[in-house]
Amino acid sequence: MNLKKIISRKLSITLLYSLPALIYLAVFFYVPLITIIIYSFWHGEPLYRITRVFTLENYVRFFTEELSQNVFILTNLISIATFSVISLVAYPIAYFLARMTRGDTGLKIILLILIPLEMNYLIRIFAWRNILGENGLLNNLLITFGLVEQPITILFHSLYAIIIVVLHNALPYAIIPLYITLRSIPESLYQAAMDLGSNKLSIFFRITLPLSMPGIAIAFLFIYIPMMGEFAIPALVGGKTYMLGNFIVRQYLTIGNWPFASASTISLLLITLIVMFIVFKFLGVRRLYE
Amino acid sequence: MSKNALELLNVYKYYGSILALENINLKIEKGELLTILGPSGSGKSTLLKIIGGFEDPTRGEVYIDGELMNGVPPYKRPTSMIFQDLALFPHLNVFNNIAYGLKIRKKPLNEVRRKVREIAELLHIEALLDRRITQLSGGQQQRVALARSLVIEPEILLLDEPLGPLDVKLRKEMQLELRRIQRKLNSTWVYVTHDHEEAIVMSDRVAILNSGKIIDVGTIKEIYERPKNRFVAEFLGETNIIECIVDSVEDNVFTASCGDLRIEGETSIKLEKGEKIQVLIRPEKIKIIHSPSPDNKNTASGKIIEIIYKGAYSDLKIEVDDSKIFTVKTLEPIYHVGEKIFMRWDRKDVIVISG
Repeated sequence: MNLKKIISRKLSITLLYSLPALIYLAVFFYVPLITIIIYSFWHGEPLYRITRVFTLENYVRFFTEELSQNVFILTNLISIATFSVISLVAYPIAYFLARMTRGDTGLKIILLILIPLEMNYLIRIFAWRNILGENGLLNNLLITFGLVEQPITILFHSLYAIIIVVLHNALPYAIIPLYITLRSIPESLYQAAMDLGSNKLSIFFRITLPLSMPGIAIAFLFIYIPMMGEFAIPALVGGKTYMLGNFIVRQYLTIGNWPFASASTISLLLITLIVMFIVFKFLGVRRLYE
Repeated sequence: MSKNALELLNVYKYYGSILALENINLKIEKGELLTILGPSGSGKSTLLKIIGGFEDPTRGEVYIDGELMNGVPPYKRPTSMIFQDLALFPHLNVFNNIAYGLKIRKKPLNEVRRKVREIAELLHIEALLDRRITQLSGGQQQRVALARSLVIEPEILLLDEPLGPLDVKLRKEMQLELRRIQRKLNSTWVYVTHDHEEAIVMSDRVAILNSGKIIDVGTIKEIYERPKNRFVAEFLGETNIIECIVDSVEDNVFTASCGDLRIEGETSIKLEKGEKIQVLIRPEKIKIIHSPSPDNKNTASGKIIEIIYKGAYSDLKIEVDDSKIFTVKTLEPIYHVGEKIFMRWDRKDVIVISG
């Protein structure tokens, strides 16, 4: 049939258009990924000594060794704590932008929030070193006003510093999905809830919060997944805090056990995929598309 | 205080400098269904929002059951509203949508279950209680919205053009069903619509709203047969309006010349000889006759220029001698364009509109 010809022609054009992207992805994403997968099943020892025999020992080690278990648990705790802090800050902002502003004012303000993201990632982290550090802006102010005598160190080279820096870095990624879901709730739903006897508090917990769950879920993924692989922030402001990203970087670059590092990477990938699946399945992200 | 279910006293609403409602005075008795009928932009939704508490009147007072409601938020008012878009909660199933108001009122769970079931049975949706809102048809969603409001037993139910999105057949069914439910529960409803046919089917009384003012209030029969002015007459369906000059007045009977026509009618309005008046004759009151009437009053002749077939009946557009166009309803589709016919109407069907 003629129709078949048209369809096959359309398909070949589609293929042609997507070829550059496919080649790019293949060379820079799939080849490295497959390489890592292959490495993860080889036997490795420190200082880049690799024996090319099939083994599962790297995976067994990652899931059973106390050190990697602890790092894994700590990374999850930090990620979840960070997500909680960011949500508490982002939700009121998104709520305000979505419900209190008219027209596209909210969107314009979001653009302003996005501007700092144009700055280089590492420079942003260094900026925070200058604010939070022992001789930083914050300590100078505190000492100048006589609030403390010695520079406080709790905000630098600590877990808290990580949370503060990530809060700054990731805030827009939480505000945007929350803004979109909050904005998409029709005004009449709030009115209907009020009409049926809900006061403002009850409307928030029975209508606003449940209906913004998809936004919260997306914000969670936007923050949780990068945090699981984060290594620059803990290295620069985290002090002794040692996250999964640092663990893997150390195995690759310092210790030089590539197969174990690769197995850790793949395990991390699988875990984030499972988390994503759970979030999509149970937190109603699908409702965004209905 | 008054014992009306609802009373509006001198209600004004301004949006900035724009006057949305002007001096609204309205009383609704318990168990009554009042329709607010008006074209879009006439302020009928604003009026409903003021009753429901979503908007405050700029001036004037709102009483529900004799209690002043100004400044009382919607969640403390004994009213409930069916929204134009229904506003069903998409994250809750049918049962939880209906149970929402009862749960807010912290009713025990078995009472919630019993009441939801009762109201669902009344509305024939008891089989849908476990469904998600997105799985329902338009008509079913309508019923859920109605159940959700009725289950909290509001003193006044406010309906904001709830049947708008439904197709004609379903609309007609729902109109009758709503009326049946309202009579059965004997509750007070305020129903907003722009559809005069809906108003005719639904209401005990109608308030006609135009540009923020109530133009006429009364039973639909009163308003249809004795409209206060041209706007009301035209809004309630097609009419023939004829400009005339009064020739003579004797008791309640007057005669008037309207171009070549002579019209005789009865009116309680005091008319003066020589006064200009507008006379209204409904299309269904005009009879088609086949030979000229011997009388020279209340009769006309003309040529059919258009036939609009409407199924059960047809509208004939008839051009009378001096280029006046008459609309006549006929049940018999036996006429054809260009045919010359004669018309006659009764004295009692002539309506005078003052002003």
